[in-house]
Amino acid sequence: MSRDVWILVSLGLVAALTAVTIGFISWGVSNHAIGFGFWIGSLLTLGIFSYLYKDNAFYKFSEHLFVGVSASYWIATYYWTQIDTNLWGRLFPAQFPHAGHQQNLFYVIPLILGLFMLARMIPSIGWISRWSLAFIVGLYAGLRLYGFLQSNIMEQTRDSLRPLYIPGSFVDSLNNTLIVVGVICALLYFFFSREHTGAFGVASRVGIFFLMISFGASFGFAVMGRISLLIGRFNYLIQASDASTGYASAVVTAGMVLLLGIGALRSRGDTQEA
Amino acid sequence: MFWKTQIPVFIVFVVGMLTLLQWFIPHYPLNQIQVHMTQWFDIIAVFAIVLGGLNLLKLQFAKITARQKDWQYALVTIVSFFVMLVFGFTRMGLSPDDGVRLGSHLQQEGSNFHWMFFNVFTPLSSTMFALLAFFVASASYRAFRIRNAEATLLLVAGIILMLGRVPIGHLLTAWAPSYLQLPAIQEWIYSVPNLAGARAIMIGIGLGMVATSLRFILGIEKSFLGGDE
Amino acid sequence: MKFWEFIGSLDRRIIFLIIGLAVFIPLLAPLKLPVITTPTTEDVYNAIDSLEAGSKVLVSFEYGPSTQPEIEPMAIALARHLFRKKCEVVGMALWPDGQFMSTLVFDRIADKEFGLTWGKEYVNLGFRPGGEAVIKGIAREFRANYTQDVRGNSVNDLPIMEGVYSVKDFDFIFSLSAGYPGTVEWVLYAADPYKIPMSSGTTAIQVNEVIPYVKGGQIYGILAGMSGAAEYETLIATPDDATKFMDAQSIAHLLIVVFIVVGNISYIVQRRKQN
Repeated sequence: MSRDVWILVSLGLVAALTAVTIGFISWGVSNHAIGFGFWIGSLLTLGIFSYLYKDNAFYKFSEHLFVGVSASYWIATYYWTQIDTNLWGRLFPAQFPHAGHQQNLFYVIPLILGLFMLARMIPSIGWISRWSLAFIVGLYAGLRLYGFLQSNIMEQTRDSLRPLYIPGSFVDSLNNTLIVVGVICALLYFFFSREHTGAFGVASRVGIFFLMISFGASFGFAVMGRISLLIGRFNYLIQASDASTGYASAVVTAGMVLLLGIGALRSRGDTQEA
Repeated sequence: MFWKTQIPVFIVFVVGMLTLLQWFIPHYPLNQIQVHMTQWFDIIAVFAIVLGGLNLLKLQFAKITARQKDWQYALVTIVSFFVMLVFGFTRMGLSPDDGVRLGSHLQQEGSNFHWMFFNVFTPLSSTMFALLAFFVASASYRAFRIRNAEATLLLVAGIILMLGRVPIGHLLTAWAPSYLQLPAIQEWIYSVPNLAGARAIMIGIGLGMVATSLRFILGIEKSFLGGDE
Repeated sequence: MKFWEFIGSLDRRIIFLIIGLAVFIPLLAPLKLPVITTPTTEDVYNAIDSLEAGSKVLVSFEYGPSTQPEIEPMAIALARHLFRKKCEVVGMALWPDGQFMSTLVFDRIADKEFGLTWGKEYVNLGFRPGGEAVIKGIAREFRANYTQDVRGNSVNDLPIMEGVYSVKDFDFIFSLSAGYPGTVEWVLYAADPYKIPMSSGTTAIQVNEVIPYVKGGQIYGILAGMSGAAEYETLIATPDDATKFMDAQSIAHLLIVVFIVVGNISYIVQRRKQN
């Protein structure tokens, strides 16, 4: 059989499984009683992890499922939390009394701008989406100009203007000096309008050292964060291997290793034949 | 030209100026305009998400019709998109007389949407991110090399921070005076040289953001219009 | 020499396996390493601890399943601390996933552990799209955006919302943040312009983005990733998941340091050989 046929047969099986899943849920079978959610969760978790061995059908399936489910998940949550309450609720308060708004017909403007945004799907009138985009850009610009000026520039500069000498405390004096020197030198490094030579070059080089320490700290935090997420996932798999779930993750792991192993042996056989 | 370029630039100017002004004049009518403009923004954001969904569908259908590589998986995306969409806009899974309103069903245990969130979306989303732990480990082994003074500083700071913030860092240096123990050294790095670097980056970003925002409001920057302005 | 060449060209899947085991084994066989607190976590604890009974606290959930292992333990520890202090807690979310995450925390802590009343001692208002525009909007007029809670009750009927017409009416804001929109936006558009006391718990990866605000006195402390959560659990004397997971975290960090050292020794040895 060709590769396409294999993939289609596998997908057919998975689609059947999905249909049965939806059937189970829709007919009100208690998922918690049979630990069914753990089986699906384990399958998808290990499907993604299987990428560590190599790119394979389980991973591709899980990845594409993720994209499809996420898109609709976002649409549904965005619709119910904003359009239903704050748009329809203002345009048609009689029909949407739960929203608790009074009628405000000015809200037809964001509706029109929103529809203009969708016009991007039709190339001939796509340009009209620029109007909606312009609204978003304008609001962002107005918000950020002030926000960043106050919190990121003024406040940070204020706190960086520290006394370099604190009587009776050598450590605090040293720390303050390092912070002041570090901030100034690192900012000088970002100043590209002048060649980094002479005293300016020395200052920008000192700035690089401070930036490197900061990047090192970011690296340390990045490792910490990623390991924490892995711990969370492994903890889930341990929970899902409990007897109450029907040993879901253990069985799924065994099955997946078996299938990937068979796949590896087959591909090795094909290579040798070739 | 007028409709396609000047009107959008004018909208950016008006909306940007109104938003900016109300920071300085937080009184009627600017404060009320601000309340509604932020609401309008939130509403338009929803349509942007819908646009993203439609675009995804368009790309996936194109992949299937053109029989591109791995086109079969596009079917998975399309089917899962519609299945989740149906669950998002119906009360499937809940009994008709439980009094849960459509919309509130997203949060209601027993609804199909709720089930899909915790048993499909959650494992997929969290594992995608957890996967990166393996690649960070691999990169640490294969890519982080002490090639010069800067790289050495980066690695030393990273290592001290990594060890100093977890319990094992304390155990490894418990024999040393308190100021030489890893948690104390990492705290100093974190609060002094790291702060200086992070703050310089923050001020740099701030300056860039202020300049860019101003350029947008004044119509100097028009990149949001796309290529054929 | 051949040994170091072999080490240098190790298949990355072996690295994956080693790191996987280093995380997995301590979860099955915990070492119970002691957790040491850091000043920034203590700052958060002190800020919350100094709140008076009846203080209204807005907790914003800006994280989802992808960062749940890092932030949920701190959300749980924070909720315990706030409810012990008899604060009134209003939950909201700037991430769509945030409203599911907040529901998990409130169900477990407010409802099951403390037996509190919805709408009186705590409420979950859920998600609103728009990021910083939402913050800016509710900073002016809370009820223009939030007219109902996640259960569909009108905000006007909730006793906890009496007197709350804008973000300025809260005594404290706490942002549980995994990125954008999150802590940074709360500082920029609420805490700084309106001088509202605020603190935050973030993913480890976001800490360096927020630390200048902490040291600049714009927010009170920061819970930095899972280790920050473990420290907070220690401070409130209720060890939970984060404390339990610190063993695996410690071993994995140590292993990565070993990887860096071994990788560099192999690199230096091979470079010398080439020279």
